[in-house]
Amino acid sequence: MRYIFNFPDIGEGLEEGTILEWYVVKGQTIKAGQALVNMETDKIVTDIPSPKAGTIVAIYGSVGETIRVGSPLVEIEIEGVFGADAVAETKVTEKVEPVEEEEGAGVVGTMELAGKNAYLAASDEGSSKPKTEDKPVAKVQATPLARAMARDMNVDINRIIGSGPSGRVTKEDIEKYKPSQGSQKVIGKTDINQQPVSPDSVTYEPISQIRKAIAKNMLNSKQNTAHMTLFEEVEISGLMSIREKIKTAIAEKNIKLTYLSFIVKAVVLTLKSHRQLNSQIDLENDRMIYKNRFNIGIAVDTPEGLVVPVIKDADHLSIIQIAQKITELSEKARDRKLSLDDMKEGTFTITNYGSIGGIYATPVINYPQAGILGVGRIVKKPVVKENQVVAGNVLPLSLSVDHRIVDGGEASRFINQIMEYLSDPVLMMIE
Amino acid sequence: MSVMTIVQAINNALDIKLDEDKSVVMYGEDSGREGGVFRVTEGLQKKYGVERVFDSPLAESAIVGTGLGMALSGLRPVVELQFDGFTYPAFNQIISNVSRMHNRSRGMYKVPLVIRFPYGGGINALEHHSESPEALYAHIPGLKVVIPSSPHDAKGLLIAAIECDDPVIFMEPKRIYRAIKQEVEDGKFSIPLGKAKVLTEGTDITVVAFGAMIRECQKAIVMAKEAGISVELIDLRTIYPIDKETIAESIKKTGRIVIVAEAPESFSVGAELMAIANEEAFLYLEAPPKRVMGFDTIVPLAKGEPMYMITPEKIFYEIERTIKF
Repeated sequence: MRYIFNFPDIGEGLEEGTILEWYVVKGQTIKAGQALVNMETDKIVTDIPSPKAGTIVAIYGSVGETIRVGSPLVEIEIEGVFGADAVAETKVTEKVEPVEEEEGAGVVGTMELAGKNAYLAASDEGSSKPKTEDKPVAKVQATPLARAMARDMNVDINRIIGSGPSGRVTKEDIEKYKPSQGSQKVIGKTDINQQPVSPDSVTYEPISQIRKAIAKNMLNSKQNTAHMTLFEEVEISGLMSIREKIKTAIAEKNIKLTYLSFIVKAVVLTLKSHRQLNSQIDLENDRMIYKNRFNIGIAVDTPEGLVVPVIKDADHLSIIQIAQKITELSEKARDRKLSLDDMKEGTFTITNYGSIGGIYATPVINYPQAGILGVGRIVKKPVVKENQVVAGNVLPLSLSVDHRIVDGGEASRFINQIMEYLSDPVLMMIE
Repeated sequence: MSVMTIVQAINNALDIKLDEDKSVVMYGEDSGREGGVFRVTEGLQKKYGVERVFDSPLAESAIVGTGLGMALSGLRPVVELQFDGFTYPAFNQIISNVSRMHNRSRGMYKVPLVIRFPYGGGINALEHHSESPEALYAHIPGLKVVIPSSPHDAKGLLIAAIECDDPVIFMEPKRIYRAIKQEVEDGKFSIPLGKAKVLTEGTDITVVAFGAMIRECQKAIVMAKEAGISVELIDLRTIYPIDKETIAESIKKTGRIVIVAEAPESFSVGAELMAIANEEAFLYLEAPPKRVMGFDTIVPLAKGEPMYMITPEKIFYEIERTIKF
């Protein structure tokens, strides 16, 4: 039987050792307990005895070589034993990776050994260290007594100008300090929202996932963009009569031809010549991302909250097709059947609050898009046509843009073109 | 750059100084042939011969006493004492002679002697193998006391200690002797004695530590960061002369200080740091200075040691309490 003798952990939590001298050669007959090799370890130099008697058939490692604990040292042919017993003993320890922070026990205690992750970063000694940019608010000088007083009175001591030596804030300074002096930061946990309320006066309900998503997206948009909103009015009597005509023509097709369908068409046509409005800004990489697709999101009010399904490639659709698409998506939205795919990849958004009643709004941009068009309720209003005051049908529009991307001039040109299409819808039919 | 443990970094520093300066000699119990109980000086005798690197008798008083004599006669001896708890037989030589010979000779003699020994607990050893007596030596006028916390610092500080004309007590954190590795510059460099190092900049609280406790503090800082607390970590590196300026500046910024050390709390380096906080930064304190230190007992044997040793959890607990004060 062949027996492979692995370099043993000789009771001191070793990781490795170096061969100093071989006492045996290949082919030599050895007794159990006979010294095989002289090994040097972190702590000692010692002879490793053979655990078995037999004949050396292989020697692993030469003088000077470092052997890991658990790696083979010698192979011994043990006489009179046959079978697979040998292999079993070797399998366990072959190519043992050192365990992290392997411990070694010696006469002087247990020494922790550096594992794979025990590396310190190289010292930055001598290198000029960049000072932290955001300097903390300078602390005023004050005795602990004065600090305690300020704290009790809910006064931020760092806002008081001290009258003591070297500008020290004294007891008297705090006593004299009136909270009305300048803006005062209230310290301590006295936020009004933290005040205990009687259990009857409010009802607690968990927030739905959709509400959470809305909250997150809205805050994100308001905090990360520079909102600017333009208000405009457009007279759409022409559009109304055209819509009436088409409506009758397609009545049997069961298609709901809303004004929104025309507005989507007008927006898409306008976006084609105002690519800033169909883009997003990528400040991290110092670049603009212009979208080559025209996917128009439509804000839909549902009992659960706002959802924004997207009309993909609206530039390839006719007004009738857009109308069909809107009907389909709104139904899906109200039945909560929208897939993630239905709401992805929007490049510009339209919110039609006018269908419920609003006139003007300051719509929140669907981040990271560049703009959102708010459509108000059509109102009958006196308008001037050819120097005559007549009754007009006025559609109020509110355009919010991200001023980081779109300047006022561009926003105005954009909304002007939309208004042109809406007041003279024939223009959009021929495009 | 080479990757080294603290043991290897100290060996490397000794190697560099033995090679470059013929007046440097190095000896101690088993330090020559065996390379010392922790194998720190391994290979040096072979390289520099028994005249310069050798074994001493088991007599610490004699080791330090002869070292003093050599230092007075123009050599730069580096002596090794085996353990913190084995330095006491040499105490009289250190206090009565080593520390005051410069003064006693009215400045005619200098004592460029380095006394190295491993210190500190956390290795399940006997009590006189686990002590942290830095305050005993820092209290003696005329001695410098140095404790590194990393391979880089161990090398740079030891070279500075050997080149220093005053006696230096060089205490080595044995718990992390081999527990950490670091890329260390090849060749000679030194780190000035008496200068603390700001390891991590922070704004809410100052944590001061040294030696093996730096690693525990760094773990505590990770917890603090998760709790939203910005910690400034200062490694003292030299216990005496203590770097008042760096400590005071940091407290003036943060308003809070927690001190971490293994030694018994009373009359300790921690006590000195609290005094500095009060004397140098009193008008900036937002909370009382706090120590996370050993109990006023002998270090327990292995079974009880975990109750004595300072853990990252203990450090974080006091950081949080000081912040919330």
